[in-house]
Amino acid sequence: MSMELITALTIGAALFGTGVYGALSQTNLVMIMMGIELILAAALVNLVAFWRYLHPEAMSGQMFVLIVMTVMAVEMAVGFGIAIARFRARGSVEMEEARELKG
Amino acid sequence: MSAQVVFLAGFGLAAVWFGIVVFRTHSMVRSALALLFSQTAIGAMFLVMQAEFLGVLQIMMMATEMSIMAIFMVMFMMDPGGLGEMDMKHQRKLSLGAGIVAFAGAVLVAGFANWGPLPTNIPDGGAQLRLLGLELLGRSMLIFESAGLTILTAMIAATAVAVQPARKPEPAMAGTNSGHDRGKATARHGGHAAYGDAPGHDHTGHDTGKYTCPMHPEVVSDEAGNCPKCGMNLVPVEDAERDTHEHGHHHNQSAETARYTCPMHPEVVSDEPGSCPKCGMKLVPVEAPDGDAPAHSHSHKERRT
Amino acid sequence: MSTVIVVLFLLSGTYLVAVIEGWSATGRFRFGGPARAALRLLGTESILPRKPDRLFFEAAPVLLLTAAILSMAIIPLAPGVIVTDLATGALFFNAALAYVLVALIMGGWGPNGAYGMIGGWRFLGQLVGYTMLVVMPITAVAMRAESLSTVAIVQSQDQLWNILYQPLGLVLFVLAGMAMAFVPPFDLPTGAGDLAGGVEAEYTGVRRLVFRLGRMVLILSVASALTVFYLGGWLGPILPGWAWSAIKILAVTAAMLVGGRMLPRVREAAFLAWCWKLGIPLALANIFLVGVLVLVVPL
Repeated sequence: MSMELITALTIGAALFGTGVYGALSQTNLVMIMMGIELILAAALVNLVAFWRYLHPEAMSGQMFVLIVMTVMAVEMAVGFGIAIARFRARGSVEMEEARELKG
Repeated sequence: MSAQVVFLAGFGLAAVWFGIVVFRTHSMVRSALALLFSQTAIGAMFLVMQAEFLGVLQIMMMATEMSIMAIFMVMFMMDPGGLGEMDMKHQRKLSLGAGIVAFAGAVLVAGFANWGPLPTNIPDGGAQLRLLGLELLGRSMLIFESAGLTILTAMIAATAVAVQPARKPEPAMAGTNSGHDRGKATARHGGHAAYGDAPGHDHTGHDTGKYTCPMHPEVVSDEAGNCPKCGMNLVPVEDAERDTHEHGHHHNQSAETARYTCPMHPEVVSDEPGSCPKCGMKLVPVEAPDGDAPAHSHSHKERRT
Repeated sequence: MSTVIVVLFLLSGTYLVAVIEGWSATGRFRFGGPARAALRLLGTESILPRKPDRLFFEAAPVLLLTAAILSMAIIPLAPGVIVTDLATGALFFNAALAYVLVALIMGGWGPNGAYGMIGGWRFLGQLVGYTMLVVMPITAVAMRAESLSTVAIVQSQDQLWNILYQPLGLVLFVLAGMAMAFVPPFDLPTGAGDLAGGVEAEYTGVRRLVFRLGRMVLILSVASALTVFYLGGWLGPILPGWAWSAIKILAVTAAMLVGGRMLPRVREAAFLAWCWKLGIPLALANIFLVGVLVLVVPL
């Protein structure tokens, strides 16, 4: 039960809470994506903390971090592609208007 | 209290503070750059935790990614500078509650779990790099190859979704009945989900089916492509005269009531198309009580939903 | 001690880069040119734009200068003369210079002016093109050195400089480095004559001086990285290590600045097309070739 680990995990929890608040409270797709980026960053902080303070000899911890970074980049790319398509069709990316599947 | 705890707490609090600023500031570019600095602080935390490669990688990648997010904010948001001070949030209590519950849950798990003793033997930067490389190309090669393939698929998918589809030129526009035209326009609008019109552009212009270069107006072509002089993408020619002519034919009894309203705020009425100042949705034409107009506004409504 | 040497090198190198740039633009060597320009800018009135985003407006030139100086922290000038020999030095170089983009975007958006803002976004367009072409040749260089540390990279070129071992990577890295430092022909973000100077348009007086200074350090940093990665850093027969470093860095700077002015300015859309359609396949081919050479040739 080391102070360093608890500190890092608390920071990760705070970032996660902020990200959840942002993702749920924003109406614009880009802002929701920012909330999701914060959630993933919180997961990264926790992963690195677990690697460093519990199993520093296991490089698979760092491998996991690389995979999560990949997921962040991929999610941003596909999300912005969808945002562009939606913007072209509707003129805005407000998610309040996106209540129906009918085009 | 070791130095690591102090630095971790310092950078961590900076990261959380920037994260909160992301959602509290009105300026969108400040929002994006606040997220950038939050991620940089997280990268600094990685460096404090002696994960050198991951820290440098995080700092490098996030600078680029968040700047790209900044330009997307400027493209898509109504008020990127924030001077309008609009408040675009919904379900405030729910989201605040969810955030607090998430934070509390994570902290409780962290506090009450039995993590075990702190290891002392950390490989240094160079050794970590070597071991990570061996792990990537040895044991985890399949995972990394799949990640690479996933990135490639995502790039292709995002590009395919975002690329503007080539527009089919309209066959004959001169002198056709405007109602018939609206019908054809509607069919075309309904057929393409992303039909590639300029964003926020009001749909009162008819396309003549010709394309021109923005820098060389003398270049006119019948199909989309590139300008032979400078290589820029050709844009459709908006025929303003024919549009007003047809609207005049169509609305000559309701010219003074060509107004636009917001679907969510009927009290907002404006003389020209644009965005609702209350919620930002596109303004749609008001239905006029005469005979022609319902076909006109009906076709617009069909597009709107 | 080595930090002091690096700082002295930074100061003198930046001044000489400014002299060389003046020479490339006007054709005359004026050793007093930068000093006179600096004094003139210090004396010029600082005009504040109307309703700027004050935070970004003030921070942008300082961030540009800081990012460029930080990126010099891992450049070895002689054996043992380096501020910090990070194990991930080559990647750190890229990470520090990524903040040049942030600085230009801040500098474009902050002054609340159209020209500056478009200049900033143009640089973002350039970055999407050049960023892969910087990282992939560095990957190939690190493959030969079997390490990301800049000292190890220089030492791996003992027998044969990378300019002969991986010429394709050198060509790509030179072009991408010039785009990174937005020198002609890639100077659309701040080019004189286009958008009234782009990002630099709204900056006057002291802030413009800091901006220009940051740009000079950036050019010096890119040239230093080029000599470390491809020209063998401090390696050379008779002269001491730091002399060879200085000669190589100044020669590379002169070549970049003079050669760049001979080409017409490249639009960022055309640059993107060339980078992604031609540059990245070539960079991948370079990595493949270097990999084969590393395994087969005992150099």
